[in-house]
Amino acid sequence: MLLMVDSVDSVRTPVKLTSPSRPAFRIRQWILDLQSVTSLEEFMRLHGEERHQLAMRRLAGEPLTERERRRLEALDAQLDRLLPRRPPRKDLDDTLASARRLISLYGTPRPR
Amino acid sequence: MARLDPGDPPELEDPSYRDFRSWLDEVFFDRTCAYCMIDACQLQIDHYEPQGHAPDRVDDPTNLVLACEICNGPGGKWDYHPHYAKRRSRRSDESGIMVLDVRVDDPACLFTIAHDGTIGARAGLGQIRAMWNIEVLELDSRDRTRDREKLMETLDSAERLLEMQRDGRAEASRGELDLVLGRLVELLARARLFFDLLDIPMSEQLRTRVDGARDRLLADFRASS
Repeated sequence: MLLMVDSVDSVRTPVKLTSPSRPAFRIRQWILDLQSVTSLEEFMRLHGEERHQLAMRRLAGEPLTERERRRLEALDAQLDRLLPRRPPRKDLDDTLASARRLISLYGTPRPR
Repeated sequence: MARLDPGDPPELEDPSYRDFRSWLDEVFFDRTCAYCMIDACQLQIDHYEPQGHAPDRVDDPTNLVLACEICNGPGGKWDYHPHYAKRRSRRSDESGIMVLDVRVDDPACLFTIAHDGTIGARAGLGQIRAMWNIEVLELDSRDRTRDREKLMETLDSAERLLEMQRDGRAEASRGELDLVLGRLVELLARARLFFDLLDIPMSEQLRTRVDGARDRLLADFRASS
């Protein structure tokens, strides 16, 4: 079986999978496991600890390996999908757009 | 020292925690969440010491805050309290660290907010606790960072428009400038608690206008409730 793994790890070329012990197989399984999580509660139960440890290291400014960084990115992306969405603030967006337009038009003092 | 002083709760006879809703609405005027400090349309009553763990404090008004559904859900504080360890399966939940309590803590001593909305842990004694809070409450999620960025941009835009108004610039569209500035001031007044809690500086002139707008909004809110 040929499989293209294009996220989380740096494996981008087709690899032949013969055994579950192959790294690519484990990576694919990890991605599928992560994507199969559909509730925040489940995500926290399954991946909360791992994300917490990685995120705390990132917040502390500790260097992460490329693999850890991408893993944290994948976890963050999945978490963002599961967190409840705030309703968009149209009044705020509209007002900010008007303010930006006025500032770009008249923001620079005119030469006297 | 805390920047939010809820004052004395109302004295009610045999109250349920829900009876304190109107008092909480006033304390957290602007619909500001006690944990992420961002305004939200739907705020829920949160028990700082979780109901399941501290049944004797369920109806205690000093145990109540208003929180958004994210902070009050599994992606936030939820039923965490370090004295009643293990809300989740995380080992880190046994760290013993307290979640931010706006009635006791000063968020400005714990966090820094960059212009792009990024939240950081302020260096110092509370740094580890601040980092832990950012992570546990998901304060660095994309949605919240974007919300904070918009609030910072609102402040920056208002300061710049005020400066233009002061300098007599944009004469051709003075009416439009006044209108947009008025809207920005109202938005800032609604989010005033965010700027207060995090000690984000505001020019004296803008502060005066925002305070005026806030007083008007608060009076309307009291009249309607």
